[in-house]
Parts: sequence; structure tokens; C-alpha cells
Amino acid sequence: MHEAHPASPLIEGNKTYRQVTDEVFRPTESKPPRAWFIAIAITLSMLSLGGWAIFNTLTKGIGTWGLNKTVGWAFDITNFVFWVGIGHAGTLISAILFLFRQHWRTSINRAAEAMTIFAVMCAGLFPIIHMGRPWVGHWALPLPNTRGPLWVNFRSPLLWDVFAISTYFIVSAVFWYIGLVPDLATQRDRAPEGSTKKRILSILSLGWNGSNRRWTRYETVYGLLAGLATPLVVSVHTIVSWDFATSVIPGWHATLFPPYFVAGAVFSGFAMVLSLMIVARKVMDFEEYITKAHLEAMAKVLLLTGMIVSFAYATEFFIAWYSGNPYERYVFLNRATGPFKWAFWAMFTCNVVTPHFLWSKKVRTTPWILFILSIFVNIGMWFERFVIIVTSLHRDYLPSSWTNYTPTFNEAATFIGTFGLFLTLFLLFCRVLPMIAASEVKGVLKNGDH
Amino acid sequence: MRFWKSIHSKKTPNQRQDEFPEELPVGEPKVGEAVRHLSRRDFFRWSGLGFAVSLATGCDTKKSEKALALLQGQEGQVPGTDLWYSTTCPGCSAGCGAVAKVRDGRPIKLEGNPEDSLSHGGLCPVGQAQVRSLYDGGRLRTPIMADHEAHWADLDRDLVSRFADTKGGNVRVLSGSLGPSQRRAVQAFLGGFKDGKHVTYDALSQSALAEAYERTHGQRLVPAYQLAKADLIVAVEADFLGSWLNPAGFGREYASRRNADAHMSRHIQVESVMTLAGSNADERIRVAPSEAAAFLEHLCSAIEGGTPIRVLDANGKKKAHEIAEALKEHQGRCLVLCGMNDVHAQIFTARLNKALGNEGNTVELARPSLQKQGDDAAVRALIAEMAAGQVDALVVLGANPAYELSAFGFKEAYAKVKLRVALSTMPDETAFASTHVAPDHHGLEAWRDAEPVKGRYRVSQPLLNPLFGTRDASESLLLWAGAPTTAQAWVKSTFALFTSGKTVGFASWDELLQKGGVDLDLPASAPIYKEDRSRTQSEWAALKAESAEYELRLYAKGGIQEGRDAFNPWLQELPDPITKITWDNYAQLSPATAERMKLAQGDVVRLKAKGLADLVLPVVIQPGLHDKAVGVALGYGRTHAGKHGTGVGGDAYPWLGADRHALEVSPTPQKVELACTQDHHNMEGRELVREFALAGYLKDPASARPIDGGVGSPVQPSMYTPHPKGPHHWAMVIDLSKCSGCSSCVIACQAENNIPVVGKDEVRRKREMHWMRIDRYYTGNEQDPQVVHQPLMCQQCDNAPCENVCPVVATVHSEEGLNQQVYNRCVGTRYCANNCPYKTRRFNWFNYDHEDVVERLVLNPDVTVRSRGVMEKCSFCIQRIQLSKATAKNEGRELKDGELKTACQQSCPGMAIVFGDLLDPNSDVAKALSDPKRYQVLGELGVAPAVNYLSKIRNVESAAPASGGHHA
Repeated sequence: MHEAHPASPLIEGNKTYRQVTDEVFRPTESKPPRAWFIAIAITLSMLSLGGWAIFNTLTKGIGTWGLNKTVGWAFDITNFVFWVGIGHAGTLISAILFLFRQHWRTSINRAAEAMTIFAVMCAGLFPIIHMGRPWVGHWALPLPNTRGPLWVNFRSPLLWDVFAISTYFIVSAVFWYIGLVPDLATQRDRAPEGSTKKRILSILSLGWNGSNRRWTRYETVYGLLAGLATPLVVSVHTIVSWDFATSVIPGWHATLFPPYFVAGAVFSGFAMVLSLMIVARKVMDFEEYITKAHLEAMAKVLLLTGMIVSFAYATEFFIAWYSGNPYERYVFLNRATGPFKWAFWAMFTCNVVTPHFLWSKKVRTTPWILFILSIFVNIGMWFERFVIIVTSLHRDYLPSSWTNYTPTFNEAATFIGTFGLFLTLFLLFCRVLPMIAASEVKGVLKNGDH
Repeated sequence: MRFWKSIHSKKTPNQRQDEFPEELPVGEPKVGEAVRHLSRRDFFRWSGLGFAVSLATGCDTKKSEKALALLQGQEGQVPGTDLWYSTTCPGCSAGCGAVAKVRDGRPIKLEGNPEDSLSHGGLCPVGQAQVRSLYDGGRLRTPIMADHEAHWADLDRDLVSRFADTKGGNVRVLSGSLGPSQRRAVQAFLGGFKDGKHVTYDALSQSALAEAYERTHGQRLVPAYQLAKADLIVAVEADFLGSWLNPAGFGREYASRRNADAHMSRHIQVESVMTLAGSNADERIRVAPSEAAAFLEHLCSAIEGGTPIRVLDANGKKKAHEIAEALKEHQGRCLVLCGMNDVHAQIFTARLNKALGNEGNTVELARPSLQKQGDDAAVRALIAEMAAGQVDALVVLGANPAYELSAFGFKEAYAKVKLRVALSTMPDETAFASTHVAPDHHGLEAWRDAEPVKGRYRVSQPLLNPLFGTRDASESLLLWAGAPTTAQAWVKSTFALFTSGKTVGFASWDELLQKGGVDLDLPASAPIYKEDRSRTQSEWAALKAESAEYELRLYAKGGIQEGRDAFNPWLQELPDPITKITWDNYAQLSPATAERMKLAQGDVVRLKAKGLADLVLPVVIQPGLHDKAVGVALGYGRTHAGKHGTGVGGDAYPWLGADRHALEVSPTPQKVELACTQDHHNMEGRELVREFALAGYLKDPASARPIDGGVGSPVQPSMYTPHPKGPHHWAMVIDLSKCSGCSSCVIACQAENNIPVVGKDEVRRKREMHWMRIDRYYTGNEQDPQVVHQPLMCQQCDNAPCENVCPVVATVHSEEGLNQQVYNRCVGTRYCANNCPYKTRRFNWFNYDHEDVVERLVLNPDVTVRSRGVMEKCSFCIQRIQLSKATAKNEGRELKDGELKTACQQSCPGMAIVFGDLLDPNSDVAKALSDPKRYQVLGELGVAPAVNYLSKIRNVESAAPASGGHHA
């Protein structure tokens, strides 16, 4: 394994430890600027809109959505898969890159993990509200009950989802929290004596005192958790893909789905990290911590996973043709030329064409271009899920049942609402907790050498 | 009346007890409804008195005539069990014998009576939907006088004095085709006036048919057609499977000759619009509406000789000659039908049937049909009289002329009649235009009778006490005539008159009620052909051959028919068997015409003709329509048809008689979305409906067997252990050659399984709830396609894709091969529906309306009413399976094959559905499964459906490839 970026330092500006501490903790210790309040006002409005939409759904029924007898899932599961996908980058960055000793991860892992947790929260909302009767949603959990041997269906991929998502959420949250402990202690130490903040942080930092023994234990736990989280990175989206792959619906029923979905998830997750980091490093003055080298590294991941995704698209079409299965062939023809061709071509443009701009180093190191490209990838990956779900369902086996799908305002509002939740939580995170893992960054100062 | 509730009701002693005098006392007590506190002593005092009174009055032995829902069960009666009563379907004048399932005093399902010699157990969608009409919350509940609710006593007093004042005047009764008792009642009523006359009309008039026989045979009659005896049926503009005369009875007879064997009948349809009958034809010939009569004339000439007066194009001539040759080959065993209300067309038809020797064979004149007694000329004369102010009183009975006779100017003329009495069941257009409304019972609440065919006497008995303050129309008429009697006594006396001096063949009135009717062997002689041909020829020659760019063709749909049941939401939401559109009528145009006019489906057009108000309707592009024809369904656009029927579609009745008239079609900028349940009409080369030509099939039946590995191949090896097997394995076979697509099963299923109505907007969103649907595909050329109908419900797969994906085990496999949906357990993820290759699962998007206290009485208590958020689907009528198994067990015997019928199977006029136990090698279903035509839809998926199909066989030499015939 080669060293990441041997030529350029991971943290620019020749910072001292003191400087790092001051700069990283500054946002948590000062009054937020006006722009922050404006931003959170917008995201809270989005969240309220989503709250209204969900209330509407819960009180009236799933009929408030645009679904019909043939298309039983659309925005709901599209958004679910989209957010789970977003949630992929965090654990990948913190766990897999940690195990591979990719030190450049230190600047972004905290925020990426936070993003993961928030994204999984958004994702987890959809399986609950998409149910016809969410008030009995707990029946999807293997809870002991008084109804005799009434248990959950272990053959159902939806049940696997329940386990996969909840496990992923718990492990990600614990991993994130453990990683936070040294910084929480620093934050505690900097908090004014006797303040409520200090008391809370004292509890949260679990009595951390920075001793060697603590560090040893910490490193062990962190390594173990990274090992635990690593298979989850692969398993979560594999299982999500099984929701489709184990069905009989042409366009869903494909053995390709697990690797294809995992690659897609990493692709979308990195795109979202890029989008957020490019903005955050600018407005929070972290350009020396999250350097262009970081952005370039992420852009390279984007290019690679984008090409894997493109390859998967090509494979799907090839197999549809090669299988000779008329239903399969029709579904793929219909994807590219049917009533939802606009969605397909939007997906194609965003996911297949966009990454190839990243061959240019200039593009990879120009934040504003990267930002635009990452947004395109986010849009493309949302459309990918929409295309897979809706175009496969709306014209399956019996032409008599073919229908179209048009989303309602309620569905769009729900989706906007999850963005509201995600961004609100992220904005709060930026001002409450250290966005950069200060303790880890200190370890990679001076060109990344320990 | 011995009991009275208040001074008010005491003062109106004739007031009927209304079961729902006001809203039921549910929920919060009303304001001002004080709760009285009763002391303990008072309580015992009153209850003691109540007990004594009930003892004293309970000893009355007088036989009650009321069919009351029992509060306390009788000895021997088990609550929650069904009682079946025979009756006659009140849906139309076909008078199909029916049996009604009565549960705890409420009829909840109407089924064809298998012992009926006319319908043989089939019942059409309208008949199936009658229970819903019965419980319509919008029905008339009290008499109405001068636009105000009135008491019967006041109404009667007022009417009796008014009728007394007009003793010497002109009194008319206008009605639809009535049964014998009601006809007698009308006569008895009119007898009291100096000039009383009974005029009958039919909204879907066949007056010209009767008139034609008057001119050719000297007797006004509608023949009774015997489709079962016909080897060759040539139907011209006659939708005998959908809306013409007696679709259920015809359907059964027709299907009895549609077995794929040497006796299979051949059916040629000549028509301008695509009708249900036309969609089943072996050969279908498109003619312009104005050409149909000429086509018949050419047929006549080709058979009888002579030169036709009218000209047909080369293709029409060729076809007419081909058909004439075919008819000649089947002398005495063929049948020519004509549904046009055009006297010349009907004369040609009568001549053809005469010349071909069909009279006495397939065309029964000695014992004719009495279904359509309407006489258009008499109606015209009546309306002229009314308009001239010469009618003093008009009583309308069992009809809605204010809506249906708008082309004759009824409404304007009606206003000139001083005393206008309507005996309606619904607050319809006529009721609103009348001075007095005496609400009639619904047919299922009343003593009625029918004689749909001469000598075939049918009786209907009330199945429940009238829900509202209504009174039987016969009772009203007889009361006003000063000879009050009960409807029961009246029908009894009719029956006595009917059978006096004849051998009836059974002992008692009770036995008649049990059987539902009796066929009397009346001595009869057929009228002899004696047409004044020169008169016909000169009249026909004098008629201008009117041909125009666009010609209007009015037709009736199988569900809504003439529009009398437009208030019935089941029928409104029933997809039209051809267009699959619900809740609307529309202007049908052929694909070529629409393309020429640059019109798309849903574009709104304005139909214009001289002297008529414009008709604005959305366009429906209908393959198989003649390029000149503009097809518009009657029965829509009603102004007073309750909360469901009012304002649905456009009213084409003013255009009646303008049939075939030139009209102008002009586009408007508007566009509407039609509520259609099927948007895609092409099988896309998929082998969903297999179709073969009879000739080839008979030569080599095995050729129809699906190729191994293809459709219907055996189940592939599985890594899972098979489901545990029980004593039964339920399976179904549907014969596509016998299914006409009439959709009776759809309504039967709706009634049986409490399927909600979702409304037009929800159907537009593709959320109809029908468990049973009929897929209709076109094959071949778009201009002149062939049609196939495929009933589809849950296929009860043995390897059901829905079962393994449910996270909460809400859909499970029974050991009897059923795929069971557990509503209580369902959390509504909809994954099962997504994973169903047949898309037969239905989701409750909202809580659907079952709140109306009257309308919910139609619900079948054996079937759960589903709440929002759960999935539902066909259960193979599991409640019937369980009941039959329990009955067999209680009687200590095995379940017999055929004793258990699903609702769809029972309703099917064509007997296309066979259901039973696969494990019984002698069962009908097991036998049907070994038919070489058997295949499974999407069998190649390995889901092992329990529903199998028999390929459609058309009686042709070589089949047009239906589904492309092979995999693409």
C-alpha cells in the first residue's frame, strides 16, 4: 500500500496543536453567524413541510401519494434507498479507510459519519411511513407476543432490511460516538467552569483524561469497531438490493444487484460528502484542514465508483438482451424509450457522463466545479433508484395492468422534509460538536507522519 | 294500526312503519334529547306493564304479511346462516329467475336460479347489482305532494278526490314493460275513467321489431329467439350478449354452443360500433350505421332473389353474398338477429328468418317474448295529446320518461298535464317533474310477477320488509281505484287467473314461491307470414339513403343499460366490457377517423346536429368502429340520479331517433382524463391469451397443448420443501371460448366480497378495488381487430411470489392450495402487490365509505370489511368453501363436486368458470385440467397458478395470430 499523497501535507498551514484545537473548537464556542440562522430557518421550514406531509399521510392514508394498483412503491422506497446510499460514505471513510491507514480520512471522517447517521435517520423514516398501517409497524420486529407462534417472516427481504438498517444505524452511531470521546473531553476542558455545557460534556466524555492507558483502550475499541463496521458497509446495501433482486419483477430480478448497489451507494455517498464538505470548508474556514488534496481523493473515488455503476448499467442491458427473456427485454427497452425515458436519461447523464470530467486534475481540484458535479451525481443517483423502482413496476408482465405514475405534492413534500431533517441536523452538528476530529488530525500533522 | 308512537303518527293512521324514519340513534344524543332518570320502582312498574302488554298482544295468531328482520330467532333457525328464497330479478324486463341469499332478514346477494328455464342460472351485472340498488340511501322514503314530503293518508285523500274530479276526463298510465299483475292493476285503475289508456314504452325500444312482425305476420310480437338451436348466428347491430333483450339467458344459450367441438356454432356480427356480442364473433363485419338496413336487404335479395334497392360498396356486397351462402347451408338451423329500432331492417330480418326456415326452430313466434311491449307510435300519440292539453291526468309507473323520452318532447308535454303522478322508487327526473309522487317498493321488497316469454310465469316475493315508507305501486293504483287490496293477494289472483283451467303441475302457491315460477304449456299457434311486400318496397324505396360523413350510433352498455340504475355505484364503476372505462360515456371514434381529425383519447368534442342541443363528450378511440360511426352510450347525463349518478356523462336521449342522422363533430380545446381501468390493449407478443382456429384444433387437438418449457409447463424443481397438502386442493379452469366478457362476475364478486366503490377520481388514479377483472386485448389490425376477454383474479399460486416477501407473514399458503391474505396481520408494505406478476392484489389507499346506515346493509357478514392500509385480493370465496365444508361435515358426508361454487363461477351466464377440488380425479376441474387447450398464464415463471385457462377457439378456418403465437 502506498502512502496517500506523499508529496503534499494532509493539513496545510503548518499548524501547531494549539492552533488546531482553537480552530476546530471555535465554532462550538462562538455565537453562530447570521448566515447560519438564515440557513437553519430554511431547513426548519423544509422540515415543517415534511412534517405536514407525513401528518397528512398518517391521517388520510397512502392514497395521498401517487401510487396505484400496479406501482406500489415509488418516491417512498426511492427516497429510502437514496438516503441509505448517502449513508454509505461515512462508514466507508471511517472504517475501511481507517483499516487501510488512509490518513487523509481524518479531516472528513467526523462529518462524514455524522452525515451517515443523519442520512440513515432519513432513510429509516420511509419504511415506517410507507406502511399502510404504520401504527402496527412494530410487527415487523421479532417481538414475543401473545398470538401463539406468530413470528416475522425470515424469508422476506423487508425483514432483512429491518435488521440491516437498524444494525447499521447502531454500529455507525456507536463508532461515531467512540471517535468523539477524546474531542468531547477537550471540549469539556475548554468549557467555562460550572457551566451546564461542562456538566453535560463531562458525562459524555466518559471521564476521559488523555492518559496512555485511555489511549490504548481507545485505539483498541476503535479498531475493533472499524472491523465490525466494515462488513456492514457492504452488507447494508447488498440487503437493500435484495428487496429487488429476490422478486420476480423483470428489471428487479438480477443477480448483479448487490455489487451494483454497493458501488452506487459509495458513489452517491461520496458525492454527498463532497457537496457538504465543499460548502462547510468554505463557510467554516476549514480550507486548511479539508484541503484540495482531500477533495481530489474523494473525486477519484467518485470517478472509480461512477465507472463501476456505468458498467453495471451496461451489464443490465446486455443481460436483458442476452437472456432472451421478452419481459426483461421489454423492461429495459421501456426504461430507455418509454414514458419515463426522461428519468432514465437524466440518470444516464448524471451518473455515466458526469464522472468523466474528473479525469482532469484541474476539475478535481477546483471546488466549485466539483460541487456542481457532486450535485449532479446526487441527482443522478436519486433518479437511478426511481428508474429501477418505477419503470420496472409500471410495465411488468400483463400489459392490461400497465399504468403510469405521477407523484403528488404530498410525496414531494415528504422528500423535501427529509432534506430539511438532514440539513437541520447537520447545521446543528456543525455548531455543537467539533466537525473535524481534532485528536486524529493532530496525529497526522507534519505530512502525515506519526 | 294498533301501536302508535306519538300523537302525530296517531293522527295519520295509514302511515307505514318506516324502518328508518329518521337517522338511526347512533352516536351522541341530539340536543334537547333529555335523558330521563327512572327510579327503580318506576322501572319495575313499567317493565311489568310492558311484559303484560307483550303477553297480551303477542298471542295474536293472524298471519303477518311482513317480512321482518327478526329481533329474536325462531326455534330451529340458526343466526348467521343463510336462507335462500327464489324470486325474479327486478333488474329489467327479461325477468330472469333468481334466488336471493337472505341473512338475518336482509337480502345480500342475488344469484341466477339454476332451475329457471330462461336464464338457467346466469344473471347479468345489472341483476347482480340489484341488492345495491335496494339499499340505496337516496331512495324515496315518503310520498311527495307539491314538492313537500307528505303522509300517505294526505296523498291518497288528495289523489282520490282529484281522480274523482277527472272521472270523465282523459287519464293515461305510462309505464315500462310490466308484469301481468301490474298490467292488471293498471287496467283496474283505468277502468274507473271514461277515457283511460295504458301506454307502454321501452327506453331501449324494440318497437320496430314488434311492428315488423305486425306487418309481416299480422301480429305485434317480439319473437323468442333460441340461440342454443342455432348453428349459425348472424347478428346485425344486435348486442345480444350485452344489452339486447335478455343478455343473461342469451349468454347461457350462446355459450352452450361455444364448446370447441363439431357442434360449435358460428357467429357473424355485422355492426357499426364494437359491442360485446361483436367482440365475441368469429367474424365481424363493419358497416356504417346507415348501411346496416341495406346490408340486410342485400342478404334478403341474395337468399330470396330480387334486386336490392339500396347500394352497398363492393366489399359489403361480397360479404352479404358470403353470409347468404353460409345461411343457406344452415337452413332451419341458423338465426338472423337485428337490434335496430328500424322497421324496414326488422322486416328484412323477419323475411330472412322466414325464408331460411328458422320460424318454429330458432325463431319462436307461437310463444313470443313479452319483454319489450313498448309501442313508439302510441307514445308519440300520447305525447301529442299531452302537448295539446287533452290529458287530464298521467300516472307514470316504473319508468322515467322525463329522462328517457326527451327526444319525444315528453317533459314539455308533461308540464301541460294538470295531475302528474309518479310511482317511482327513486327521486328521479320524472318524480321531480310530477305533482304527486307515490314511492314504490324496490322490486326485491315487493310482490310482483313477470311473464318474459308467453306462458313462462315468474313470481317475485318480498325478501324483506320495505325499508322506507314506500307502498307497492299496484296497491296504490288499486287503492285509488277504490278497490284496495294487498299486493300479495293481487299477485295470487293473477296467478289464479293465469292458471285457471290449466294443468300447473304442482300443488300449491307455496310451491310456486319455492320454485319462483312455472312454465305453462299454453296451446299456441304461430302467426303466418302474410306481408304486403309492395307496401314495404314502396316505403323503402321512398326513404332516402341518408349517408353522411359522421353518423351517430346510440347504444347501451352492459352495466348502465338504459340508465335506470345510474344511481348504483357498482354499475357506474363497472368497467365497460369493451372500452374498460368507468363512470362516463363518451363519443367513440374509429382510429382512422380520430387520426384524420387529429383527436386523441380524452379530447372533448362537440356533437352538433340540426335542432338538437349540442352534446359535449370526450373522445374514445375505439378499434373496430366503422369510420363513419360515432358511438355514444345512452343512460348517462342524468340530472336526478342520486349522489352517484347525477351528472355522470352526457345525456344522449334527446338524440334518440336521430340515430344515423348526420352530425357534425367539432373539436374543443378541452381535454379530460377518462376513468379507465386498462390503458394498454396490446398483448405485446406475449402469450397471455392463446387462440386457435376451430378447424385446425379439431384436426389435431394436441396442437393446442403448450410446448414444454413454455407456457403452462410443469413446476420446475424447487429447493424448498413443498407446502403441506390437505384433503383438498382448490383449482379453477376458465374457458376463454365461453367467456363473453359480460362482467357479471365482476359485480357478483363485488357483492359477495364487500368490495368498496372508490369513485371516478380514484379509478383515474388506477386504484379500483375489483378483485375480479376482465382483461381485454385487441389482436390483429387496429381498424378491424379481433377481441379477446380474459377474466383474471388472484391465481392462487402454489409458489406464490407474494408469500415470501411479506415481512409479517400476512399472506400465507393454506394446505388446500389457497393463498390467504390475513387482513388483521397486514401492515401494508405493498411488497406482495409489487411482486405479483398478475397484479391482482388491491390496496386500501383510504378508508372507503361504508358509513351510510342503509347502504352498509348490503355487506356480506361472512366477509371482513377491510380498513385502510391493508392489502386484499380474491380468496376463491373462502367463506363459501368453509361453509360448504362445514355443511358436509355436519351432514356426515364428503363434499360433493359442484356443490361449492365461487361467486364469479355462479354468476357466469356462459358457465366459463369451473371450480373444484384438484385432488378429486372425478371433479369437473380435474377433467378440465386434462383438456389439451389448458394453459397457465405466465406459467413459465414457475409460480404454479391454481387458475388455468382453456385457449380461446374461434370457429374459423385459420386463426389470425392472436398473441403473436410465440415468444418474441
